[in-house]
Amino acid sequence: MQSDLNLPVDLGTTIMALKFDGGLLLAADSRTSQGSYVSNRMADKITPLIDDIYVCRSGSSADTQTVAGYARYSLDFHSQQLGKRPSVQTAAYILRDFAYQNKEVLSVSFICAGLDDEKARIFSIAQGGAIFEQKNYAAAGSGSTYVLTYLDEKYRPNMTETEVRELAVRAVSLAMFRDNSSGGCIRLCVLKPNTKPERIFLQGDQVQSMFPVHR
Amino acid sequence: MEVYSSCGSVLGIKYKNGVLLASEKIINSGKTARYFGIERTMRISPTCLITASGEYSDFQEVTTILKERQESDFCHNDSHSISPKSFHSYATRIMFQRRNKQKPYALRLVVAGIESAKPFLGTVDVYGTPIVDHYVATGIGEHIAKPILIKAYAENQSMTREEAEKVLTDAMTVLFMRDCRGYPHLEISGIEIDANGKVQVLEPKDVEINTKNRWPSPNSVDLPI
Repeated sequence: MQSDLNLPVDLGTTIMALKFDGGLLLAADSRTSQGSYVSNRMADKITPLIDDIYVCRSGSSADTQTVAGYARYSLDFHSQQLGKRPSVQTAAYILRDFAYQNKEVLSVSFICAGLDDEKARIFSIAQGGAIFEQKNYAAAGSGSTYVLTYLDEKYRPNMTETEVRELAVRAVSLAMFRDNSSGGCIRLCVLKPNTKPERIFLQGDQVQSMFPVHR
Repeated sequence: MEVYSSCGSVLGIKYKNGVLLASEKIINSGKTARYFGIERTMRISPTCLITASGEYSDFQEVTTILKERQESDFCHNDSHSISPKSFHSYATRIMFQRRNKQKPYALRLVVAGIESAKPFLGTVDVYGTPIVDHYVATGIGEHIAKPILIKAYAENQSMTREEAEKVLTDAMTVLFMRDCRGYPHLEISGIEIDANGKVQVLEPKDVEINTKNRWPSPNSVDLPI
């Protein structure tokens, strides 16, 4: 029988970023799995890169933590030479370059989001290193496949912050309901111009109460 | 080479004074439609366009390589510009070099442009095989749509732009109906040379595929016994 003791730690995940009228919201679940075992049920998949540019990580835990770490270092160095905070596009492309150049050995996918002069920008970096700027929202990770159509249907541009929070929380909890690799708690990060990033944490039992009643 | 973000078939056809390219504005992740409204055609130089089917990250990379080549040539400022045929040749060399390293770019590249005042259309496959032809179809389109392009070109070698557009749209409609990864939102881009010899990259046109009257009857034999 094959041993499951050395399975890679995987961020089977639901992550998303949505623009609203006045800013940007990032949302993620909190489950890290090793095969069928939940190795961390309180993971924080929303990682700050520099100031108010954040990245949502999905894929291999080790790979994404390392690449995000290199990107943080690279951006810090770059911002010192540049004399100001680099753009979200720069941050996204730094992540993309790592992901693309090492695509044979890495298993990473990111959503890099932040505000550039009060304008929200979202970049999605897919598994092979393809980079896409998303106009309104992005979702990634194994759980996203279950809620992409839900977001397609319910999202409208220029929603209010409350509406978008409700939508994101609903979408992540629906994804957690169906995706075994996503679960635990919901972490949010609200980015608004001239405001400190707000980190919100919804406990697991709160999330569970939002699961649909399955008949 | 695993393909994670795949782009669908591309069709291209030469007409009297230019080349038209048609592709679906979507990226697939396996069999899931993943990213929408994606620009599939990139402008490398004032006389050359490039598009591809296959792994999108490799397409972004090759576009960057060719654009850098164009930039460095521009910086020479010697009133010499790289022609589409040269870009095609250069692309062939890059693809072949990667093939030799067993690390191919998972792409079928299409290079289109105006070469010596005449339309140019060529492709390069994963092995680095260059093909220059009057019409191209990549991916599953090579089986389904190419015969339509061949027939249309055989009937009329000097099409107008409108006729070429119609041929491409018809072929893409068939492709949409017969390709699982098809999508009804197209981008038709192109490049042409006018009577005065001025080369113009055409504004990419968004086309919605219409399959009206293509569903003749609800009958289908699914229970043969």
